[in-house]
Amino acid sequence: MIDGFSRRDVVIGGSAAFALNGLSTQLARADEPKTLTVAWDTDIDTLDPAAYKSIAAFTTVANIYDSPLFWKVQPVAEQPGVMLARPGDYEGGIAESWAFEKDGATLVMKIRPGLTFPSGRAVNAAAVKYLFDRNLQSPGYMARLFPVLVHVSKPEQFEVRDDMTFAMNMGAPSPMALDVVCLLNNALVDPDEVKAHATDKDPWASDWIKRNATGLGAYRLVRNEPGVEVVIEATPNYWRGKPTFERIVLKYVPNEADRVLLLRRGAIDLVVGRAGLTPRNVKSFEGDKKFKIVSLPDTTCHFLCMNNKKAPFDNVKVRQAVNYAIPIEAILPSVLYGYGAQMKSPVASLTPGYDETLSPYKHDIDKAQALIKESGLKGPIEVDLAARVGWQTHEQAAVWIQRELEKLGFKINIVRETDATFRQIANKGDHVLSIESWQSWVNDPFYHLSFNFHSKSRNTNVAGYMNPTVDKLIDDNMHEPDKAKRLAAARELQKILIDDAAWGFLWYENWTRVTRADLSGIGKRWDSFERYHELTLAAT
Amino acid sequence: MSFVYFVLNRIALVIPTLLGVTLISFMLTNLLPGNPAVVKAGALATPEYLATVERQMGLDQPLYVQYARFVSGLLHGDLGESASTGRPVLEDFLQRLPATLELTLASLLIACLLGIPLGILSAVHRDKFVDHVGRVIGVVGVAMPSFWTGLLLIFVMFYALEIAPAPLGRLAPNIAAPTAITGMYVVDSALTGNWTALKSASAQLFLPSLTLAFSIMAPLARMVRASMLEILQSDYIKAAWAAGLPSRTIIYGDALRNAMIPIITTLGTVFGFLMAGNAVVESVFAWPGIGNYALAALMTKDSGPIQSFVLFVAISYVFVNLAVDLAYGLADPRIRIG
Amino acid sequence: MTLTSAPDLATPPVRRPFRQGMARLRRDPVSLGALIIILAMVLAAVFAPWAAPYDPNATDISVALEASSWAHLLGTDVYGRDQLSRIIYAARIDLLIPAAATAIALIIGCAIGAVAGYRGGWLDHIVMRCVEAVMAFPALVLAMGLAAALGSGLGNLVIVIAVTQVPTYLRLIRGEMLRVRDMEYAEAARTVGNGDGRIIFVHLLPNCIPPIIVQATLSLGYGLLTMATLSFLGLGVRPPDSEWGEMTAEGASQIVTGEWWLFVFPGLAIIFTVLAFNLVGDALRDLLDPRMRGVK
Repeated sequence: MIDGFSRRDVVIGGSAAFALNGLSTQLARADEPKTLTVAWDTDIDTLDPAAYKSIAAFTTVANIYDSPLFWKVQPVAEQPGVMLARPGDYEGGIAESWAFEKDGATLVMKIRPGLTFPSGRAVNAAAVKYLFDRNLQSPGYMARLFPVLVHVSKPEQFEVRDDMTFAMNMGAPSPMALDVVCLLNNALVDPDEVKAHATDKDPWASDWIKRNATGLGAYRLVRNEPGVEVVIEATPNYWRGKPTFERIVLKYVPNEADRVLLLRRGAIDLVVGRAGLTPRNVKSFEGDKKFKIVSLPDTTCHFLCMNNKKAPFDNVKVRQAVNYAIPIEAILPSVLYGYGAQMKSPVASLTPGYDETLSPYKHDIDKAQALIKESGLKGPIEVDLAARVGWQTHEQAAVWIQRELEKLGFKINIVRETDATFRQIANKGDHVLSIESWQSWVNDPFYHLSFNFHSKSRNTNVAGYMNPTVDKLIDDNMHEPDKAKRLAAARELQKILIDDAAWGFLWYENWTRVTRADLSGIGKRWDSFERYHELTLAAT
Repeated sequence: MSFVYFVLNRIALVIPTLLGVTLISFMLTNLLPGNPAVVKAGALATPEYLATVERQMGLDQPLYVQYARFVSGLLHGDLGESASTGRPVLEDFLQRLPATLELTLASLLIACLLGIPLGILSAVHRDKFVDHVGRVIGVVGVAMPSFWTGLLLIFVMFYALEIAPAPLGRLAPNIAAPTAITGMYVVDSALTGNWTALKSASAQLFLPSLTLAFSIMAPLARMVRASMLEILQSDYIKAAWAAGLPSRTIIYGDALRNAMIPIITTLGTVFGFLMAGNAVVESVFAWPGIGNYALAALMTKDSGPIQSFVLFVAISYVFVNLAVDLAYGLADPRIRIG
Repeated sequence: MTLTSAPDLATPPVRRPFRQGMARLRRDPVSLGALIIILAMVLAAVFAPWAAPYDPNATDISVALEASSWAHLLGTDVYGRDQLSRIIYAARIDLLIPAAATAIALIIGCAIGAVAGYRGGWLDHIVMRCVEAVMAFPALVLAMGLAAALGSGLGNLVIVIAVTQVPTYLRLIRGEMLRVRDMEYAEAARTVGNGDGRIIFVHLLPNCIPPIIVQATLSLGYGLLTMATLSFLGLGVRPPDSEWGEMTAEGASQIVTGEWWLFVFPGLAIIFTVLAFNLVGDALRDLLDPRMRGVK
């Protein structure tokens, strides 16, 4: 939901890969026009919709399960064949319509008639209630979110009004209710299947559902061979119709160079995942008529995380100096190759309430040095800068930042940590300086600010930022129904956080995909996972 | 000292080694930094949820309990669960093992086909041109890191000359795997007469196995040469020369047969070496074997796969050496005394 | 990667090894060349600030990813850093770490091996069982596991490489001890009333020095290979420290866009250095151990 902590399940070593002798092009898909071949670099760790999981797992769940509501995607004017979600735009999923009652304190959803699970059983309001009950009570991920985001902490708040009407009684309005219902984690599972596999020790059948899919989605899982491939095939009689691509083969290709090669040779149609393609390699496809580059602004924030609780970054002057020392004008072209933009606010540029005029920061080493002087900091100060192994843009940015910070009297050691190590140290608040990323799947300023800057958000406020004013502003406006008031507060928060230099603001990275030229209909939602049923082939 | 006693003695010696091996691999993975439960639980996990995940993974128990569980699991064929695939490690492991075996056997074959004749020729034509060439190959081969050999082969054979297929795993994309019999694609496709798959699988196998073979060819050739030299200088060979037997018969008959004993011993060492080199070569060629599996697991601190890999390599190494020892003892009674 | 096998060496003390060595070098241009390579590497490492044409960490986007030219003999990387300078600076780590590891392994291995070999009995038994357990792991697999367990950092890397080498020295010295402990001069030393420690370290160990020197030279090469491999796999040296294996790994990801010089040159640096150590080790073996001469 959450996250930019997207973990990638590994890439090691260098590899190999190169230009293209058209060896396999003639083999490719002449006989199977309806197969889409995708490359990624992770394995499915669990198929439990409620759990937090790997990118491969989320991508698969996004295609084999449906949630009650969807984020609606619409064509982008400037990029034909590309669809994009917009804030506040939803459409019916398992529920065909929705409405609020009691001034927004209750969300009522009408279940789409005529839907059946693969088992043949009809989808009804009881099934939807089971999904929410399970997510609230199973040892998954959602249990934590429901109380915070939609005031739900008891299963009785999920109500079956009649066979086809479900209501969520929140007790108070929540501006995030619809987004929460759209989350992939709230995907509909077949209650009878799940119950059939429940045991006394495991009442929500978590062990079973980890490896078995029981949803109603555009595709069904036909093969999962970790380290090799995952295959999904179109669900017969799917309620949204037959997709263009009836078979999706997701190949595990751990080395980026290999992904580039396969794409060049037409052996794969698309590369997905966090590591996907680095901007430098995306750049190498520019101008090639056989490929299409889809690049859209995204909600992912990449930032230099300074530990606000530890010296020397407990000093606001030092943090401001660092923000002036970040060589953003070098990083954007030579690390991101233009596929990103300077981060000018603690929230993403697509987030409601975003104000790009507030930030004074730009690369200005004189100003940075002056601020260091004011701070009274005496160098050289040795600091470890942590970056994750395999996060290439972070590792490269670290080198650029290192050089500039040394001009301020720091001695920077770049420390590369595996995801597991990095995450553990970050959660304990032990990084002094690190390069982090965050994406809010609920595209709401208060969702974002609360997880990243509220002093009570223990694991996610990785900078250890503490400010009672900020806490209060967040608490007061998290569920504020008055939109204008809420956005004004969001702006005020941005101002405070920028002035306080809570983070080292780096960049917003674009959501970028390189596809074969005739692939159309690719859509980007707040969670960034593709839904393959909407892809089509443009007539050529 | 009877042969039975010799065999039992050797087997008994293996037991403390195996215990030590399990202890070491257990310690290694428990020293790994990073808590896998934190990654598994996700960013927003509550401390309670984290505790649940830790409990599921058995991380809340004291170390000796974890070790006892680990050993008892081993005896039941339970290697734990992989955090990154959510499947039993044994299942993942068996799925990938054939790829590794295929690579190992192919490179052993290539190394023997190239290394043994080279060693013989060097010994027979001692200090002649062949011997010098052999020595250069030997010295350089030992100094070349296999990752670099692999990259160079890829660059030359694939990128520059375009005669090798892309170094991307075991089959060209879009070619279906042959019906599984042994799990080794080359063998399976040959058995089932699937020529498309056979062609692709052999082509894919060629560069990685050559890379791996190159790393063991040099020591192999050196050993063959040394033992051939020793045999060729022995009295009975000298007697054979004196008796006027044809040199071909002497060299490839008597001498080679006798030289094979030390060569077999070398193969034991070479095997362990291959298992280690596998991981590197698999990583360079995106070969989906157990070495790559373990390396991937190192990054996510997924201790199950790492433990299994380290254990598997060590245990198979112990048993290969045991087999070599026994074969050696059988062939040469003098050894039993040692 | 190399096959490590403890050479079974006998040790008649060599007379005037230096003069013999010089005489041999004159006859043996290959070993001379190897020695020169090692010396050149050491000098380059020590005097890196003078030997390197550029600051190894100076980024310059205007010259990023340039192939060999007069300005940058071995080309530049993604950050526009001069590769020749980086290789020269990397020599410091690439020589120092294996050297430190070898020194540690040698001291620990020899001490334990000498005591175990001299004392024999249960102590020897226990030590040898431990050694067998450690040696049941192929050196590189053990190194991978340990490197991952200890985490990155130069100090840890030294420990990792040292651990993989300790058994070699231990077994070497134990074997030597078993051989010499019952020799006459050992008996003589005992009858004069020397303590065990004194006998081991003053009277017996010096006789084992020649094979140790040979093994140490070879170990430097193996150590470098182990370190380079670990770094290539992402388990060894970390940026901004550069190391040849790590540089090769970085270069490998650029092959896709044709920048071959980034993986070729660091690899060549590894090969030449390891080759040189091995050749010198072989030459020393011939020199110090006449028994091996005929076989090689």
